[in-house]
Amino acid sequence: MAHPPTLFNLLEGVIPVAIQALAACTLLVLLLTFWVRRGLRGEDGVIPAEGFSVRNFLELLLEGIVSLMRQTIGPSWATYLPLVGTLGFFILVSNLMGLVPGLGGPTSYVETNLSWAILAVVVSEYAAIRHQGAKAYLSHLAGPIWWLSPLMFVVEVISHLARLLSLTIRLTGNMFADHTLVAVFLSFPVVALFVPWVFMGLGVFVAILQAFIFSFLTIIYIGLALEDAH
Amino acid sequence: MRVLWTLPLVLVALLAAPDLALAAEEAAGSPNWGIAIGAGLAIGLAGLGCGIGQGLAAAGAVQGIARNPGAAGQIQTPMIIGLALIESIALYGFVIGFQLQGKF
Repeated sequence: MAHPPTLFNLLEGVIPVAIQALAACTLLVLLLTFWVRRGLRGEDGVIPAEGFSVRNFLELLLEGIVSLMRQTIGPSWATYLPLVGTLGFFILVSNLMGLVPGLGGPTSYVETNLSWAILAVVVSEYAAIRHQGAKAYLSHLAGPIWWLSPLMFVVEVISHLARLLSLTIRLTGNMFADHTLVAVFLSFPVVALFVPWVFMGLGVFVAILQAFIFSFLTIIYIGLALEDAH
Repeated sequence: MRVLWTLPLVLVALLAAPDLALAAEEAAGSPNWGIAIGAGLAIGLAGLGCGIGQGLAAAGAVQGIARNPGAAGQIQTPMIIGLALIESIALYGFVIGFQLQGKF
């Protein structure tokens, strides 16, 4: 897929563009982390910051994620918070980075999205097997009616694989479509003054929404894996 | 006076007709013209289904808010989630169409 040229294309021969973008995104997330952590240190760490600060915003996001996880997953939510929180923040920062002209976000490339989706799906499958046991998990895949079980098994395996594909393509397609739209409208001479603003606005909304959807779906898959078999 | 609004349409059709004929002539020469039609249909039909689906979702949400304006915040969140998930189906079609683009 042809991406619009970015800052990372300068070093394209040495390091692939997707990896450069991912490294830049990691650096940004680490910066944010250390920024917030400085506010949390010491005696005054428990007192919330005043007004609108980075720390308050991130604490708000974290509270939202934790309440959602508590609702969906139940008592063992704390085990999965690092995974879901990290995925959510990384995807949010990557998506927003991709909107900045000149920078490309790692989420426009299918490689990064595929790796994160594999992580999410493997963790949810592992959680299912560890919680229910391998035999109960396989019989859950086979379904309740015994003579339909070959068909049910195939359908369930395909649907679990489809989760992987759908997570990847949903995120990649959304981000790539936004960047392509903005780039295409920037290449027309007259409409380049007015139209890309609208699509940038839509792009910001879609970026935040897609980050939320990815982490929400991960939470739901883990919740489905951990619920007791019927 | 009432028929005056058809004038721009007629003009566009007249001006576009030789263009379309030329394009059809050129396109028919390539052996993989089916891929071109496939790419167009991919995003077209995907967009059709997605449009209908999202319209139904939004209609249900707006009706719910109309019945119970106090629950607007609680209805809005599942509506946004539903819209994003339905949108992803249209995106699958877009990805297929995009992949087919250079190939004819």
